[in-house]
Amino acid sequence: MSKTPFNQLKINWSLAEDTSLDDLLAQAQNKLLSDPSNPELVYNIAEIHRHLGNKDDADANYKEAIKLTHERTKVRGEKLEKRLEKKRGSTRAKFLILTFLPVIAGLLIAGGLWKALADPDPIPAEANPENFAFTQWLAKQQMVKIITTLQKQNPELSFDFSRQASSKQSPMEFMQSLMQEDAIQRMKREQQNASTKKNDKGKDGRPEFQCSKEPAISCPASDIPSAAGELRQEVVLLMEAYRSVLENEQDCEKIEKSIESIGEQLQWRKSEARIKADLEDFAMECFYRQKNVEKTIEHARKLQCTGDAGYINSVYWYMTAITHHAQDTARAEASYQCFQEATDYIEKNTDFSPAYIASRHRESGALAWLYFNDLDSATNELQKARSLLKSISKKTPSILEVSGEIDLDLLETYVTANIDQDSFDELLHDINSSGRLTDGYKQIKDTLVTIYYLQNNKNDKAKITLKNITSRFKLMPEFICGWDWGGFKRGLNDSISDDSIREQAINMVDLADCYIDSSISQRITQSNAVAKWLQGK
Amino acid sequence: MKNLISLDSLTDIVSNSVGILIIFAVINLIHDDSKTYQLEIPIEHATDLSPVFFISKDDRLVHLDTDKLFANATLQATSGAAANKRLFPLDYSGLLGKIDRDNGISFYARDTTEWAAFQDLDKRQSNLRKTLDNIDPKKQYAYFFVYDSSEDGSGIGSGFEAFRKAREYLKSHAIKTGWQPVNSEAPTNICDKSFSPRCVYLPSYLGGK
Amino acid sequence: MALSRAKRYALYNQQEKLEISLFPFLSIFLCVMGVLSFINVLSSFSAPQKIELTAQLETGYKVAYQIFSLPDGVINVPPTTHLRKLQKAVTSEDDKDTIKSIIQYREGVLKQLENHTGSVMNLARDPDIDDVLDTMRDIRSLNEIALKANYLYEEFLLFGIYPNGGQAYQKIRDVMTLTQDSRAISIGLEPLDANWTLNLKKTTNKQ
Repeated sequence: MSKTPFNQLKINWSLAEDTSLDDLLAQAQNKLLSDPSNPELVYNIAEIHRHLGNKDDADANYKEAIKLTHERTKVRGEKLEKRLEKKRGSTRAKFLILTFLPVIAGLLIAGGLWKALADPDPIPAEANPENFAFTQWLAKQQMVKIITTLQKQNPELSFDFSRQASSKQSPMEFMQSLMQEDAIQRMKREQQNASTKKNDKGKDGRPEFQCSKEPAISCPASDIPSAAGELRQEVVLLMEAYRSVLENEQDCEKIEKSIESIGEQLQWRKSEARIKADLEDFAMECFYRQKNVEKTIEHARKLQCTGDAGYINSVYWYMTAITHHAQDTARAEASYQCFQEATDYIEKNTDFSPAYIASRHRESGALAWLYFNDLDSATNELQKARSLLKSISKKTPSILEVSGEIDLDLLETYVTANIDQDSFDELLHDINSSGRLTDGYKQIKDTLVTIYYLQNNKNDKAKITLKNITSRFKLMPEFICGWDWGGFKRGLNDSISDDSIREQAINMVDLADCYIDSSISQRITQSNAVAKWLQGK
Repeated sequence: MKNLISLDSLTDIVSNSVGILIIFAVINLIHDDSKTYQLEIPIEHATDLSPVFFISKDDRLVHLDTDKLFANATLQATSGAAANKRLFPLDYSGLLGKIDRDNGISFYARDTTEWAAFQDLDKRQSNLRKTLDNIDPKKQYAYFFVYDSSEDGSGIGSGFEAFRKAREYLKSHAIKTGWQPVNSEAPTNICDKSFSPRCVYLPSYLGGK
Repeated sequence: MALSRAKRYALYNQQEKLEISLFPFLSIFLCVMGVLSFINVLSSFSAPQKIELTAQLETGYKVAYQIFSLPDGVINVPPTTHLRKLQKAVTSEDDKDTIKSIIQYREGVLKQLENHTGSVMNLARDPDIDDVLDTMRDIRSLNEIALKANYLYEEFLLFGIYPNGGQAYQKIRDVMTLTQDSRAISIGLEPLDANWTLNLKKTTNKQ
């Protein structure tokens, strides 16, 4: 065996190269005494034993070396562990700060969001008032003028007619609605009669009524409901249901197209003329609102061709209005005279109720004032209508509705006249218990009441009603009413002498005017401004 | 050695994240238990807008094209198929029609397989979405006839879910919605409001901004 | 040879000790994290399981008279919270008495709902025509009293409709067409799920 394995050892321990293994062993064991846990030394001793041939000693020392190595490793491992622990401690501290701060912040934000989302949605302060055509609005304004003038001339006239035109829609629509309701009732009556006696009167599809101021109109065959046969019950019901679809339709061409295709399918029978007329009336009204002169006239003619007496006035109303709009004065005048003739015609016809005829007289009066500045005819017509309405004894729901609105009109005149508190309170009581006030009309009522309180220096009460107006606006998605403030506004000049109060009253009127195109939030701002002024008083 | 330390901190992060997730889960559970539902408080209101009708049934929606439907119904009515309150086919998405004095025209929905599933609302190019997108919030609002019936009374299979989903979608597009419940005894119907105050179809949910 | 084997032995020992302790740990944590986040995502997507409805609801001055329409009938939950304030605001003695009797009646109804043991939903009754007419009359008179007193208070009908509950709703609406009292009463409608329960105790305790 060479001595090579121990040469390095001998050099390390600074021993001569020829040192014997025994000496080396003695040296090693000596060293072991001073460093008993050195595994390398024990290992070297074991190696020397092996070289010396002491197998048992070598084994024992090998084992000892391994044991010692284990212990060392263990100690080293523990040291490492301690160091890691320390390092981990600092990392954790850093991590806690860096992670939990954002997490807590996140939690707070999430909590806030949760709360915000859990809250019920605020109602958006939006909704435009009806965007009515200007002319229609103007028409109504002028009508108010005529009535105010009439009231001045005939004080006893004021209650019944003061402004029935005020309604959920425009004056024309309101008049139409009066008529339509009547027409429907008649339709029903006719349907009942149809089973007993065949309602097949009339002459070869020509309109029964002929106005003396215009030539007989020539109707294309397709526009005359001329097919023979009984009224088709299902068709009538279907078309009545269709009214719900057409009611707010703003696409007039669509209405026109529908009428055309339905007409082709149905081949209108003579007995169904009224249904066809009803559809044409929708189209005419829609085109009138768009101020489409040509189309309005076209559908007025088609409506006329149906030959239904219940719609003649409607034809001439729109004809007068649209030709006047087109500045065709001669034609407008002719149409108006036809309207009057038609009114005379229906008056002689037993099919129509007094209420229906009365409302035609009112329309006639309105036309006279609106387009021809003819106060005398207007007064005449309104007086006729008034005496007719007085004769109605049976109060139907629709009559009640109208009378509710008349009460509101009356309130306006009371405020203008600054009537005594008792009469005012009495009327207000009636209005409040009518059970028909919509949100829009509550605003009108409270505006009038606020102005009444303002002009009588009852500022505390005014504050309350004004606050109510603001609160109602806040919850109102759409402000819908049909109230024309023109006459009242004009009347304010005389009724309120105090300049500052008048100014605020005008502001009040503006904020409650459906026809002024402003958003609900603008109206709220306006009412807040009045409230602020009131607070300063 | 550095390698070992980074692994250890990873464990740290992981254990911490797990802890946070557990906290979240617990919060979630607690919250779910005491949830008080705030009704959106819808109130029907008068409007200038015109309705666009839909039927919601079996988690599906169908748009009622009134022009087509009334044209088809007219055809049937003239042929006499609609006489004596008989049901007649409308040739429109499996709908059957009936005409009578009290209800105007009623639409019976039997087979809804052709209708669009409300899940289509999530698909960009779906027809249902296109139909809803076509509603002009300045002129129209959506009105839903919603089937309230379901086999097990849980609401699954009725039209509620589809209606709610559509309502949400429309709300995000600033379109107002209204609805009424219908069922096989009192089916979808359109009638003339001068006959009954029930024949009005008004919006109640406001379109959000 | 023997030397290197022993050395390797010692070295192996050192490294193995750390590796074994880390990886199972990590995998378990990752798994737990995955499962938890899955549950989290799932619970946020699925519909809320149990929702309680409040008995007193209002938006601004508009107060809801709630009618829950169930397959077996309806549960009326009349509002009472603001009525006493209205009673104070009213000047006329007649009106005060009317409000008083309405409050008394309504509190009786609420008490009955409250004292019922078991699910409130079992209290659903078929809508009675006279009851509906009386309800409409009460709401109308309250609204009109408030209008006359210039006090901003308005009740409206809020229908909560459960699956299969449309029939009772239809019946009430039909009855409502019979009376003029219901003309000016606003209506609200909300579809409800079967697992949304009505909790009355919570709200009545608040009063």
